This record gives sequence, C-alpha cells and structure tokens, in this order.
Amino acid sequence: MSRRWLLYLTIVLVSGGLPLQSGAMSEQRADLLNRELLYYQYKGDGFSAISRYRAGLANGEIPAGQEKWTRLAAQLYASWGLFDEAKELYSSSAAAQTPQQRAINWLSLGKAYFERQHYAEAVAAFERVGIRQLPKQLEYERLLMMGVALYQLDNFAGSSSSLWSIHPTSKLYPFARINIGMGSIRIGSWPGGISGLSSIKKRIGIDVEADPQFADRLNTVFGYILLYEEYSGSNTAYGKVSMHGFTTPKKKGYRDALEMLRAVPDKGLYANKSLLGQAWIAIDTNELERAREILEGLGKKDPRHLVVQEAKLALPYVLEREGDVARAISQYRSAVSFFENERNRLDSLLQQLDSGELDNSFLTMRRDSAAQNPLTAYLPEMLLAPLPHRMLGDFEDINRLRVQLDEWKNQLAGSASLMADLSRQQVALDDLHVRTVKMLRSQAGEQLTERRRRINHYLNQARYGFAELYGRQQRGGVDPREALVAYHAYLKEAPEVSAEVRKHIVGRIADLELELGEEAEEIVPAAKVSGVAAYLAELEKNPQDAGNEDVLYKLARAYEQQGETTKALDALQKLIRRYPNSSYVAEARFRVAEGLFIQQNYQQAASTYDGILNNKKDNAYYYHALYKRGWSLFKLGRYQQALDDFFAVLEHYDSAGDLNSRANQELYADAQRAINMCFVNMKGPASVSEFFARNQYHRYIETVYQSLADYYLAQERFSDAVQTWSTYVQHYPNSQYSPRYLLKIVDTWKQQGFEKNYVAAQERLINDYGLHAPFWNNHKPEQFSDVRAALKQNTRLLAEHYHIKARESGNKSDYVQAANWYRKYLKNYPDEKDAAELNYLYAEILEEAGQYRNAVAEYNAVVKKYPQFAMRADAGYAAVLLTFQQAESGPRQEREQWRKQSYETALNFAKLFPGDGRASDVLLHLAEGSYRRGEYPEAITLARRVVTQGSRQQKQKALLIIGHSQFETGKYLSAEQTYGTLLQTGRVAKNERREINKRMALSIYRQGEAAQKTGNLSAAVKHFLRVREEVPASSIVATAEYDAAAGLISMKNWPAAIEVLERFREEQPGHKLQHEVTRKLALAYTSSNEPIKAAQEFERLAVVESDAEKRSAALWKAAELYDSNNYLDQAAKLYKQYVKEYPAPFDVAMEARQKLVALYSKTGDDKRRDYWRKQIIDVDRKAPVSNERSRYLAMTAAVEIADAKYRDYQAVQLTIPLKKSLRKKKKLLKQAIDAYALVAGYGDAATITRAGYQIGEIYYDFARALMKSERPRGLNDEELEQYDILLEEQAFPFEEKALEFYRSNRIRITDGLYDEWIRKSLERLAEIFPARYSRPEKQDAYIEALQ
Amino acid sequence: MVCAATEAPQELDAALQQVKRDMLGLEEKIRQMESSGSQSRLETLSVYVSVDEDISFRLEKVRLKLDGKTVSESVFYATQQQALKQGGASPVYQGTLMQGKHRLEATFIGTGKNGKRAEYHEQWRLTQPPGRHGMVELHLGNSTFRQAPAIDMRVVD
Repeated sequence: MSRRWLLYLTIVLVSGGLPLQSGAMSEQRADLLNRELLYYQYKGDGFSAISRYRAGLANGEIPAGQEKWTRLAAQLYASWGLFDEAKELYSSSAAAQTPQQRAINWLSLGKAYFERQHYAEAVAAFERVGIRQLPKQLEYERLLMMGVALYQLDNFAGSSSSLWSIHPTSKLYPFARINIGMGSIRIGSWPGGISGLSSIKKRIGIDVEADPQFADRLNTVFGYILLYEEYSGSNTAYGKVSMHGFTTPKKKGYRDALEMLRAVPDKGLYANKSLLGQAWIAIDTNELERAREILEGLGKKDPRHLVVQEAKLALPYVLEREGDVARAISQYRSAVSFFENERNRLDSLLQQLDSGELDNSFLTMRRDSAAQNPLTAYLPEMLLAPLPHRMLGDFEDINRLRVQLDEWKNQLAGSASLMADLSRQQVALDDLHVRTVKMLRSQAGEQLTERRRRINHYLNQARYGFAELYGRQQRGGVDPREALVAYHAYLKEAPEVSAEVRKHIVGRIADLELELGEEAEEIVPAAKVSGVAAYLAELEKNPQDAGNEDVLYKLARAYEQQGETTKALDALQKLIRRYPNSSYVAEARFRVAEGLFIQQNYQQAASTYDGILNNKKDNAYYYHALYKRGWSLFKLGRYQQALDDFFAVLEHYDSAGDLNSRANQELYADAQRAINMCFVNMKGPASVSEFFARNQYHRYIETVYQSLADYYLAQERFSDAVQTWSTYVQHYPNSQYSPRYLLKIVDTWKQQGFEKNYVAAQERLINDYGLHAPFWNNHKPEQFSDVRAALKQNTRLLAEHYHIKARESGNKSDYVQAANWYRKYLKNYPDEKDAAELNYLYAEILEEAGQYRNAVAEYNAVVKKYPQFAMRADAGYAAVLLTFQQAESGPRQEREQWRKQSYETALNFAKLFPGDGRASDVLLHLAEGSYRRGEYPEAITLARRVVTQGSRQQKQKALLIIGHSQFETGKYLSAEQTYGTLLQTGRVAKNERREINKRMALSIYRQGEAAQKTGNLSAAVKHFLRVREEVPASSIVATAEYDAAAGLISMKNWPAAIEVLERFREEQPGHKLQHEVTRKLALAYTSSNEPIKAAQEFERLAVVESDAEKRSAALWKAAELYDSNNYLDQAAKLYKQYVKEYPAPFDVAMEARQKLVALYSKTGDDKRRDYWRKQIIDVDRKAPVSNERSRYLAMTAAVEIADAKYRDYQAVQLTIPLKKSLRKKKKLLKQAIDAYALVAGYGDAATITRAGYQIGEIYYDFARALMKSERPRGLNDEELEQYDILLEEQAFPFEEKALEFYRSNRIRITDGLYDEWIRKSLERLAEIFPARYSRPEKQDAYIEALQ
Repeated sequence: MVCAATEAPQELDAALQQVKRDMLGLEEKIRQMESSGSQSRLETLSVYVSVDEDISFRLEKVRLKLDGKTVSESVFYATQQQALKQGGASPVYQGTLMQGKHRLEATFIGTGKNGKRAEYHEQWRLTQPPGRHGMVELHLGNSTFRQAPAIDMRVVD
C-alpha cells in the first residue's frame, strides 16, 4: 500500500452487510431518518416530511406503533395543519406510555392549534392536560398559551385566572402579567391593568429571550396607558383624543408616563411611538416648545407611519397654541393636502386590491420596502398580522402543492387512471388558491379600510383646525372661502360630529355666509327650520287660547331640546301661573325645580322642592323631590341635612321594596352615591363613624363603609379607601366583615403595587385573624372559607414575596422571613396540594440563604413526602447538585463530608429516578469524580450504569470513563475493548478520537508489556504487533514494533524479527531507534546465518553509530564478515577504510594491515601484499611507542620479505657466461642479506638466530653455487683442474663467511639460546666440518646447571 | 368597495386540510405504483449533510462527486440553513452504487466566520458491500483551532 493511501480513511460501508429489506432498523439509521424528517419540517415543507414518513412506514424503515415515531408523526401533521390526524395520533395509546407523556402530547396538540389561531380547539386541548402532570416549565408555557387563547376568545376572566397561576419566578411571568394587565384594561378595569403592568415595571430589565424589545414595548404600552388615563379619564379610544377640552393634568400620572416613554431608546421599533407620547404630554403640560421640537422631528420620518401622520396633525395645533398662527395655518394647509393625498392613495390601493391586481404580489410584498413600491406601502405592515401571516403560509403551501402536482403530471404522463385523479386534484387546488387569495384580499381590505378611516379622521381634524383659524389673522390668514369649504367638507366627511360641534360649525358657517353674501349660495345648503319658531308663532296667533296649556308645555320641551334652559323655565313658570290646575302643574313644578337645579340655583331649587314635599299623599314626585332636595342641600354644602334626606330615600325604598323599575334602582343607587359624597366632603370615614354613633340607620353601616371605600377606590384614593376599611375594622373587630375588609386592604395594596403596605396588610391579616386568632372563638370557620383560603394564600404569597425580595436584596432578614413563612405554611397546611411545591421553594430559599445542609434535607423531604409531586425529580436533582457544589467548592474542611453525602444523595437519585435523563448525568458526575480521585473500580461501576440507561452522548462519556479507568487500573484488555466499542459506535469528535486512539494503542502496548513481565514473550510480541494493526496512526507504533522485534530476537525467531525490523526501517524513517534497529538487524542476520546481510548492517552501523569506537568496531565486524565469507573485495575495501579512518589505536590498525597482507596473500596479489608488509614495517618503525604484537607483525613481515628475497636469490643458477649470472646472483645476494639484516635488527633472539642462519645459508649457497657452476666448454683436464682450483679459491671466502654466521649462531648456545635456527646452523657446521662439529651439544649439562 | 362577502377562515382551513389529505393520498398511490413496477434490487447510497447548531461556517452549496463524477449539487438558502442548524439532516444524494470500492468527494462552499467566501474539499474511500442500502452522513462542525469547519464522515449502520 502506498503511503498516500495510508492517509485516506478506508471506510467499509458496513461490515456485516444489511439485507435490502430489513425489518429492524439500526438506531443510527433511525436517527438519521428522524433528522431528515425534521429537516423538511424545519424548512416548512410539511408535505415532504409527511410523505417521507409515510413512505418509511410503508417500506418498513419506520416501525409501526412505536411511541417515538408516533409522536413525531403527530407533530408533523400538527405543524402542517392536519389536526384530525395529529389529534388521533397524539391521543393514541402508541403515542404515550405514561400520564406525563399524555399530558405533553395534549400540550403539543394545543400548541399547534394555538399557533394556527384555532383558539377554541387549543383551549380544549390544553384543558385535557391533567393536573400536575407537566414539568414546571412546560406547565407555565401551557398556562401562558391558554391565557392568551382565552384572551383572544374574549374570556378575560378565564384568561386572567390561567395567567395568574404562573409563578413569579418563572421566565414567562412578565408575559403573563402584561397579558393580565391588557386584559384588565380591555374590560375597562384601569386600576387593575395599571397595577398589573406596574408590577412588571421593576422587572423590565430582565432579559426576555423571545422578545428582545420587550422592555421597549412594555415601556411604550405602559407609558401610553398612563398617558391616556391621565389625559381623558378612562375614555381611551384612540380616535377620541381630541384637541379640545383638556382636563387639568394631574402631574403624577404624566410624570410616570414620561419616565416610561423616555426609557425607550431613540432607535428601534418603538422610538416614534414613544416620542409622540412625549409630545402629547408636553402639549398637555404646556411645554409647547418641547412638543414642537419632537413633532417637527417626527414630521421628517416615513410619512406612511401612523405615528408620523398623527404628528403632522398635532404640529399646527401646537403652533396655534404658541401663537404662531401664520405657521399653524400653513401647516394645517399642508396637512390637509397630505391627508387628502394619502386618502386618495389608499382608495386607489383598495380599488387595486378589489380588482385582483395585487393577488400575485402578496408573497413578495412582505419584503418590499415603501421606497420600492410606494403604492403598496400600507400593505406589508398589515401582512404581518397573525391571520394574514398564517394565510400567507397557507398560500405558500398551496403553491408548493401545485408545483408537486405539475411534477407528477410530467412524471406519469402515460398513466390514464392517475391522470384523472391528478386533474381532479388540480381543480381542487386551483379552487383553494382562488379562495385563499380572496381571503387575503378581504383581510388586506379590512386593514386598509381601517387605515383609511384613521387618515380620514386626521384629514377632517386638520380641516376643522384650519377653518377655525379663519379670522384669527388679518394678512395671509385663512380665506373665508377656504374656511367655508373646509367646514362643509368636515360636516360631510367627518365620521362623528357631536351636536355641540355641529351647532358651533353651523354658527360659523352662518357668519361666513353673511360675510360672503351671495357668493356663499354656491356652496351653502338650505337652512333648517326649528320647531320653537312654530310654537311661538302659534302662541302669538292665539295668545288666550285654552289649549295654550299644551303649546306652552311643548314649547318648554322644544327650548329644552335646543338647550335654551332659561326660556324653557320661563315657559313652564308661565304654565304654572296661567293654568294652576293643569295636570301639567306637578310636573311643571318639578321641572322648574330641576331647571333651577341645572342652572345651579340650588337655594331656589331647594325651596321649590320643599314646596313639592309639603304634600306626600299621591305625590308621584315626592321621593324624587326629597332626593333632589338632598342634592340641592348637598350642593349648598349642608351635608348633615342632605344625609337625612338621602337616608330617608334609602329607607323608603328598602321598606317599600319598590325597587323594580330601572329608574328607581338608579335613583336608589344615586342616593347611595350622594351619601358617599357627603361623607367624602366631610371628613370621610371619621364622619361615618360619628354619624352612626349619633344616628340609627345601622342596617347601612357596612354598605356605607363599603360604598365610601369603593368611591375612594374609583378615585384612586387608595389610602382613603384603606382608611375607611381600617376604621370599620377598628370599630367592629369581631364583625364578620372585618377579616374580609382586611382582605380588601390586602388586595388594594396589591393591585396598586404599594408593596410595603401590601405586605404589612398581609401580615396584619394573618397575625390578627390567623388560624389561632381569638376571632375564631366566636365564628365558625366553615362560614369563612374565603377568609381561610386567603389566609392560606397570603401565607404562601408572603413566603414568595420575601423569597423574591431576598433574591433582589440579598438581605439575610428577607431570607429568614421567607423561610419562616414557608415553614408556617408547611406547618399549617401540610396536606395542601401545593405543600409539595412550597416545600420545594422552602428548600430553594434555604439553599439561596446558604443553609445548605437544611436545604438538602428539605429537598430530600420533598422527594420523600410527596410521591405524586411532578417536580419531585427536580427536587432530588437539586439536592444532588447542591451536594456536588459543596463537595467541590464548599468550605475546605467540609468538602469530604459533603462528598460522602453527595455520593449517597446522587446514588439515591439515580435509584429513585432511573428514567430521568439527569440520573445518568448524576452518575456520570460521580463517575468522573471517582475517576479524578483515582477510584477507578468505583468509577467503572458507576459509569456502567450510565451505559445501560443513559442517552447516546451520556453513554459515550461513560464509556470514556470506563475505558480510561480500566486503562489506569491496568486492565488493558478491557480498556482496549471499551475504546474499540466507543470508536465503532460513537460519534466521536476528531480530537477525542485522537486521544482515544492514543489510549487504545497504549492499552494494547501495555498488554504486551504485561505479557512480557510474566515471561510470556510470544504473547507480548503479538500484542506489540497488534498496536500497528489496530491503531496504525498511533505514535507508539514505532516503540511497539521495536519491542516486538526485540521480543522476537529474544525468542530467536530470526525471520520474524527481521521482517518487523525491516518494516520498521521502511515505515519509521528518521525514528531515533533506527540505529538500534540496524544493530538488531545485524544481530538477526548474523544469527540467522546471513553473514552478507549482516555485514551490510554492520557497514551501515559503521556510518551511523554516534560513538567512534562503535563505528570502528562495526566497520571491523563488517570487514571480517566479508573476509570470512570470501567477499574479499569488500573486505579489502573496508580494512583499508579502517586503516585510513582509525589509525589509532595503533595496534588494531596494525591488525587491519596484517589482514590486508593475509587477504592479498590469498588472492596472490603479491605487489599489494608486499606493500602492506612494508607498511607494517614502516608504521611499526615510525611508531613512537611500539608494542610486542606490532613488532611481531613487523618482524614477521620483514622475515617474509627476506625469505622471499632469499628464494629469489637461491633460484639464480650460475651458468655460462658466468660473469653475467654471477653479477645477477651477487646483486640478489646483497639484497637478501640486507633483508635479513633488517630482520636481525628487530633484536629478537629468534629473528637474530634465523637471520644469522639464513645469511650463513646465503653465503654457503654462493660458495656451493660457484663450485657447481657450469664449466666453460672445451677445457682440457688440466685446464679444468686449474679452473676448479681457481673456483675453490673464489668460493673459499664465501664459505668462510657462511661459517662465520653459523658459528656465531652456535656461540649463542652459550647465551642459553637454542632454537631451530641454531640447530640448523649446527647441522651445517657438522656437514662442512664433520670432525669438529658432528657431535651432540653439551646441552644436558647446561640444562642441568640451570636447574 | 372591498370586502365582498368572504367565507370564514375556519372553512378555508378545513378545505385546505382536505386538499392536503388528498395530496398525501395521491402521493401514496403513486408511490405504490412505482414500487410495484420496478423494485430495484441494486445497491444504493444515500448521502446526508448535517451541521452543528453553533457552526460559524455558513454552508451555501455542497457538490458531491462519486468516483470523479459530479453526481449532485445542493444549494442551501436561509430557510434550509436554518433547518440544518436546528438539527435537520438534508438528503443531498440518493442513487445506486455498485458493490466494490469507490471514492466519494465533497466540496463545501459557503461563507466563513470572517465573512469571506470559502471552499473546502474532502474525500473518502468507500467500500460498498453487496446488497446494501448505504447511508452516509457528512457532518460539519466548528474546528477548535482552524477557520475551516471540521468535516466528518460517518457511515450509518
């Protein structure tokens, strides 16, 4: 395999091979399919998601009836709007095995309904969720959606009750409160709404994920509510914010509103709206310059923005009030033309919408900006409203399905049977398309019409303001014609014109007409004829007619209708005077009194009523008169007297039981109100108690107190209301009303958000009327179920109050209070349904207060005491977490104890809640802790449990712990298996995979080491070799391979060792062990009898070894191996190299030279051989310090050279011509003698004797050679004799010379020497002088002497 | 003016639901017809793409090559990107793949953390066993050290 391929991951698709149509699907496949379905759903393609699901079901990829899949299918159907299918699936037994799951399914279904605005169905589904079946977070989500759905269904009571159930600590609480607040406002309960909203005011800073601009929105909404409230009482319809009749501002409301509005940043969705609000406040508080600045700023923004349009209208009004009439006129004028334009624009847009021109633009319009398409500028905004938004979604679905249908048509062009189906479907889809478009059109139409109405309103306001300025400016002012046109347009087009305004305008028109004269005729309609004129004409005609009684009566009525009260009274008084017996008189008298009353002539009115009261019998007006006299007295400030009248009225109606008519009911109620007003105008509750101390009417005590309190409430005089109840409670502490009034005090402070008072009231309630209060000695608790319930609820609320406060303030006293209240609650109401929840909160506060031991005890108590509690597992988990935290970061000296406890708590949790996902987390945490502390067996046991019950990721973590623990405890085989499992099955991240691989490789390696330790070498080797096979990329492969090779070498398994080593050399280039590998290879090759390969390895070592000594040794070894295996060239080369590279140490180099000598001797290369011999001699001679061996070698070399010379010399025969051969032999003689002289020079006894003998031999040889030389031819006997004598003479000195050397050798015997050469010399002497020398030497004697 | 009498939104919703149901019915019919006709017994391969929830690389296009031949090119717009980030797995290729060894190459094109266009290429060897519907998931995650996303390939058992 090439190295390149090693880098690729070779992946086999599956090892076992799965059959094509497999029934059971692997978990991984299921997971992937699941995510494929989710992918379709997330991108909004419900059709593909469901189709794919159904296909999977059909082909067996998805098992039928499995909970997980059934729920997924239900979710897909639900989110695609197929509710029947979704509902069936959700409610099927397959979708839910536990009650909790059933609850979650209903919640999911409800949510789907909710999201498609099927609010009634959503509520029905939410209501199917059982009590306490959902985890806390989901339950709050359910309550919030249910609250909003009920709100949408106009069921505000239901909505608010649902929303109130959301706990203040929940993240959804602000949403709940804002909905409650808005609900209160919608039903007209402003104080309730404002208090609801202000309760979240202080929590505005919190981060609300779902709505990043939540704070801005809240500030704006709340600011506006305060603004409207302040501005126009409770009359808050937007359009009614009129520019007339400002109330005197109560500054406080505006101050709060401003504070909210100013908190909204200048940029963002709510900036304009907030600015406009600030402008209105500025106008109303007469800060006109500020108002103008804001409005001018707003006027420069997008003119299609509603707020900007309102600002356009407000600006000229401000200018007018500032006195800048000229600019006001011009601004009004331009506002009128702007609004006219916009109205026209909207009209033509509506027309386009109607004609269908915009049908195809709905989807794209959402993204158009006004600049891109001014015509549609009003539409995109409205398309974001919930219903149109949903319709657009449907529209997209329909389009998607139409495309799908077209695809099928193309695909299945041949199939006739299906084509019919497809065509039918096409018709249905087309029809739906048309209907949806129509619906969108109608939705858009409604929105645009509303917008047109608003603009029309502004237009007419502008016209009116403009026309009103007529006559205010002389030059450049409003032209009378313009004013006339504006007034007429106003009367014609303004949606609502009050009678008062109409009258004013008619008057103005009349003035204008007068001024314009005939010119006006072109515009002004015909004048109206009034009824009054007709009656007056009649009276004038017949002044004395008896029937005038009737005419006068009618005239009075007519005047009254026209608002001409004085004239009406005149007419009536005339009637009383002229016709005292008329049947009209009683009424006339009453009406006169009423008229006087209306004219605020109370004194006269009172006396006129007195007149009526003189006669009680048959007097239909008696009690009305009594009642109105009361009012007159009241107006005159005579409250005590007024009270007498009003109470008399009450007593009358109560005793007569005459309260059936609506009028009487109203009168009765008004009398009550008047009584109230009296007390209000006196000293409030103090006057009440004084009054009842003096007077009877005790049956009204409670009513009076309550009415007074109600009045104060309505007036938002909350402390007065509270004072009223308080006064009552003070006077009648044992009254059954007292605890209830206290309850009202509590509620009031609560609603008003006066937190301190609220809490004080709650505490007063529980302290004075608590379960053990004396009050209950005289009262039966069963009659006070409301009070008892409130006691319970307020105990709870107090606990929660201090809980929140403690969280905000961090004060210890708050924590103590909260804990006390929780404890009180748990003690008094241990069997309440919410005891579990409170106990949980109690545990939480203890935890927050740092009382960790108690907190853990309480959490554990929750687990133990309330087996049905939905958050039981949460409590258990909280206990576990707490112990974990303390064990890790608590006081150092306590940590060990905490750790022990955490262990128990956690194990207990895991045991109690095995199905809880956190159980595995907890076990994992324990396992990790054990692992970190080195308690590996424990870690393994814990992690094993996670493996059996945890999620895939938890399992993976657990396996990792197990693997590492096994690794740490030396269970390498197990560790390897664990890591293997992890790598095979887990989705392991790359870096983790690297670590696991490393550990896995180490595990295998360690197994090898272990085997090695026990002496099982072959097993060890197997493991070492496996490292490379299992984890080829691991960094310890090299070490393992090396160790394997070492093991194989120990086992003398040379071939295997060689294979591993060679592979190592190839695969681990540059590895630091490479040299060692070469060494080992050298050994292995040597041992497996492959000397040449071994030699090559040594040769390598000779280069790479770091140590010079080793290098030289390797070189030597290599040379030797070549030498001994007849690779002589290589051997020679290496020996020479040795000599060259390692001249020192001297003796080894010398041996190398000797080797070369031997080597060349073997090859017969005499020249080179002798060269090296001479080298030996030279080096030895030149060496500063020689040694025996060297000298020996040098000497041997010298001997051998000399011997050779000798042989050369000996070989020369003396032949004729003698002269020539003689010369040659003589020359060689000299050389040989010189050579031996050199040998002798080594001074060694043996060489000296040898040299002596040889030199003797040389001379002797010469002598004999002469004697034996070829005689010249042709000599006669005598001549021959002469010649022989001559030869003898010639030879004699040589013989003598020879004898001399032999003898000198013989003499050495006396020095104690005797060797081969001496012996040979003696033999020669005996040969030459037999008599003299042929006898045994006196060796024995000498030896004896020595002994 | 506008607002010609229109039906209630609920009615329209009901009609839409019915049409959706009919479409699903048709889909089933067509599917059955196709599977009864030519049931393929050949080995197949499905390739999916998924990403980590917090991935910083914005995946815009995936190009797949099998044995050097481009077999698919999938484009991801904002909606699809969102669906991927929410944990969806997008099928990017489905087709036959004969048994034996193959090379799978994937090019991921998109926008990196720094806002620059980037392209990453990766290749794998695949062995298709006989008679197998192979499923392969290509997963993109953040890389701890590098700008480039960590590209993982997982064969689904």
